[in-house]
Order: sequence, then C-alpha cells, then structure tokens
Amino acid sequence: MIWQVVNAEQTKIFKRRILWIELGILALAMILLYAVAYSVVAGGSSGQVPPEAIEGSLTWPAGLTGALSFAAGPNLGGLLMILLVGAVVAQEYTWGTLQLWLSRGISRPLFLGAKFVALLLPAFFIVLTALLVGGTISAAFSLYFLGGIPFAQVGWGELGWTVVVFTYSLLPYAALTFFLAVASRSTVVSIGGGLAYALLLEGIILQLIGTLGGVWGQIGRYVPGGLARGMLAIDSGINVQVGGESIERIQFLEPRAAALGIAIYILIFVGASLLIFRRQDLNV
Amino acid sequence: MTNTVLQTYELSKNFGQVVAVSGVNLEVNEGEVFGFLGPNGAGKTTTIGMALGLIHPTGGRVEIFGQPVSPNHPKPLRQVGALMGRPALLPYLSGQDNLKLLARLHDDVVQERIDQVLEQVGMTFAADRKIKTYSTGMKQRLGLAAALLHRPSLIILDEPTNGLDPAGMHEVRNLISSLADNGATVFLSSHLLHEVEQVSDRIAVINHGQIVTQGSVDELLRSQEMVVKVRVSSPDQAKQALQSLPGVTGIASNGAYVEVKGVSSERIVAHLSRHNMPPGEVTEQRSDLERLFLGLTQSETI
Repeated sequence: MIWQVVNAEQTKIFKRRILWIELGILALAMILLYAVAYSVVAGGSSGQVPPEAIEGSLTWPAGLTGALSFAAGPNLGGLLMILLVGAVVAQEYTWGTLQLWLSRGISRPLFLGAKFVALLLPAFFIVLTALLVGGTISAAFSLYFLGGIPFAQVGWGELGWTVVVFTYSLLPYAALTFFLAVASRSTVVSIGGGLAYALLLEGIILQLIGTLGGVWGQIGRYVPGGLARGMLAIDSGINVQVGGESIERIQFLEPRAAALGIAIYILIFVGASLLIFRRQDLNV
Repeated sequence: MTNTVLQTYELSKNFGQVVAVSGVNLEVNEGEVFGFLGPNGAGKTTTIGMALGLIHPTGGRVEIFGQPVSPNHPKPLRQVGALMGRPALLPYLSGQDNLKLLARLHDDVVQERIDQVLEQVGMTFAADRKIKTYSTGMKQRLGLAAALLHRPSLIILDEPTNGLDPAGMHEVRNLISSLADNGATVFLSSHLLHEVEQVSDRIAVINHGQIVTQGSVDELLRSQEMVVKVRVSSPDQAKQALQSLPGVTGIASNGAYVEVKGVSSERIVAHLSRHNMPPGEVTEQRSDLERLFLGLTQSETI
C-alpha cells in the first residue's frame, strides 16, 4: 500500500504546473548567471579574480559540479523546494482531497510518510535540472575555451554521489515547510514561514550569532544552512564582517557530522508533523 | 437477521466549550437507505467526520461492519465510499485523472470501472476536462462517481444533490435507490426533506448535537398527529374557544389561520359554530417529514 500511495502522491506532484515552472526558473537563472560570468571573462573586468580562474570554473569538470551549487539547500534549490512543498501539502487541506484519501482507510502515518517520501523525486529533479542545464552550458564553454570537452577528467561516480548529496541538502528545507504546512494547514503560512526562515532568519542567525564570537559564534554551523554547507564542503567556513573587519570565522562541520545533523532536522520536523497530523480533526 | 453496518455508541464531540455532538446513538442496517436530517449546525457533518475517521470523538465510539473506526484505526473504511459536503477533487487534473488516481488505492478498480461510474453519474462527456472548468453540479456528480468507484458496501453521502438542477436531483435520487436495490447501504445526510423522505427506509433527526428521533419513515409519520387548519375571522377568539375543546393537544395561530392538533375537523367545525365562529376554510394537513422535522427542531411549531 505504501508504494501505491507514494506513487499516487508523485503523480499529484508531477502533474502540477508549479514543479515545471520552478524547474524553468532554475534553468533561466542559471543561464543568466552563466551569461554574466561569460561577459566578465569576455570583458576582462573580473576584478581580483583572474579571468583564467573564472574560465576554469565555467568549463568541465569544475563547471559541472559548480552547476550543482545552484540547486543546493542554502541556495535557489532550497527556496524552490519550500515553494513546492508548501503548495503540494497545504493546498490538499483546502481542496479536501487529503480528507477524501484518509476516508478510504489509509492510516495517517502511512499517508503522511508517503507524502514526504514522494517529495524526494522532485528534489532530485531540481538537482538534476541544475546538472543538465549547467552541464550543457559548461560543455559549450569547454568547447569554446578548451576546444573540446574533457570527459576523461570527470569522475562520474563522484559526480553521481554529489547529486545525491545535493538532493539531501534540500531535505531540511522540505521538512521544515512540510511541518509548517501540516501545523498551519495554510499555503501562505507554510511558504511564507519557510521563505522567511531561509532568506531572513538563517542569514541573520549566521551573521548575528557569528558576531558574538567563541562558542556562540559557532552556532551558525548547526542551522540547516550551515550543516548543508559543511556537508557539501562548499567552503570550510565563513568570515563575519563587522565594520569592514573580519572578526570571526564560522567553521562548518565536517561532511559526515553535517549529514547526521541534517538527518536529525529531518526527523524532528517530519516526526513533529506526524504527531500533529495524528491529533488533527479534519473538517469535511 | 439484520446486520448492522454502521453503529455509533454515545458518540460525542466538543470543540473547546462548544458541544457539537452529544451522546449520539445511530444504527444503520445493511441494504437500507438511512436518512440523516438536521438543521444547519445540528452536528450532521461532525458526526459524519467521526464516522469517516477524520474527527477524533471526545467520547463514545463508531463501528463499521462491527469493527471500531477512529482516526487511528481507519481500516474498516476501505469498504466505505463517501461524498463529503463539497466534492474533494484536484482542480488541476481532469475528472478522469482524479478517478484514476483514486483507483490506485484499490487493486480491483480498472479503467472499465472508471468508465462505468462516469456513465452512471452522467459525466462521460466531460471526463477529460479539468476540474477547474466544472460547474458545481458537475463537481458534485464527479464526487459521487469517486464515492462509488470501488463498489463500497457502505456509501456515506453528505448533501449529494448540492448544486444540481431538478433533473440532476431526480437522477441522484434514482441512483441512490438503485444502489440500495443492489445491496449497498446508503447513509444520506441532507437538509432536503422531500429528497430524504422519497428514498429513505429509516431516518434519524439530529438537533443541537443530539438525536431527537430515529426510526422508519412510516412509523415516524404515523406517530405524528394530523393538523387541522381553519381560517377564521378572529383567530385569537377562535384559539381561545378551541382551548375548551376536549382532546386538543396543540393550538397555534398563523395570520388568519388557526392550526389545531389532536381532534377531527368535524369536531372543530362544530365547536367553532357553537361559539358563533364558523370557519371559512378547513384543511387537514397530512403528516409529512417536513412537519415532523419542524416539530422536532423548532420549538415554536405546534
């Protein structure tokens, strides 16, 4: 039964226009940013970064993995996931379809679990889109700058694993929005809450708590964004600027510990959603 | 022996300080159409929500096919089909796709069955159109198709004729009767008394969260006293005069009319004539579900 419900939930998501619009937005944003990067190289106005370095990041193999960073949890990918989850989960309360399905004898934990599992595939699609779009553009840059595509330099197994890890980095944002959608039963609250957290709170936490220094200064590495950065090894840490001075450096966790931290966030949010969902009175 | 399909025992639900349903005992037997009546806010939808495992009862319990049902024990609901208030449909899918999606929950529902239920509710013509283009009546028909899709043994319908035109209402009434003829049990909640009277074998009336009567339609109507309505020139005087007539169980005045319960029209005419108030018009009102319902749910009615 679980796979029947997961399958049906995935159909619901993939038949919705919002997913395809989001993938389009991601592709468009990537094309625009690549275009800007190219104009910097072509114009020779790259400031402190040498044009060769930008060129290197635009071509295979660095361009290929670099493309994935667009889909990372703390970047555009996380925002797209929040929009998708909020729409997919909360709207079903309003439409009454959630109530209809439960009235068919499906257990609540199974239904909610299936709903969350069904979100893994769209999360994977977001990362895959980034890889395909970025990979194609950087392949074109490789042809242009290098005269060919260096297939031999690409570690395909590692690339596959990176796709999985980037997909995983989206899940704490999905789980948070999932929790907000179940608790509030509102699309506006779940999407608004998710975006407010990702855009404002997480950024502010990383900056403000960092200024405290010491132990407090390291709290930023335990928020989902910090954990995702640690796991993805996007960078080893960030400098916090106060009055133009770098006063503290947040050291992100090493990837395994960060991955474990993300798993804990997912379990907490999905577990709390389940507890609330089991107790909810669903109006018909 | 009659099998009980749906039974509630002292079912209650409070929302904070508000008592929505209190001590409701219902018994729905196999193969019958059971009408569930009540004014708006009486507790019908809350009772249905608890029967469908969507609302946690504050007290009491629900059994379907002899097995307990609650939000945490929904398994017996596999044999139940429901149309709840407004139809629950995904607006971005077509009617057919909505049914296909729901069919995945039931191993024995194939395309042929989907076509069959679409035909049954007269929606084949719009099966491929998206729900967001449907009228209220069309959505209601498709919601009905969804309820029937897996050939449930118990069908719970909450206001199934909402948004339908008279012809559509007639079709739904026929459909309900044919479902019962084919062995299904139908629990029909509606505020359309005529509709319920026409198709139901037994009814229950709920008011202020409590069941005020329950039984077969014939029995309940027989138990109602006939009302004689007389038009008189001075209703207040006539009302006063009729109070001395032995056997009168209720009197009410309504404009130029006086309504009397408990005695025959002949005795009323004779009594008023003796008091020099011969009525200009006399009608005997047959007992119907509407009068029964109003009598049970409105204290000001005789």
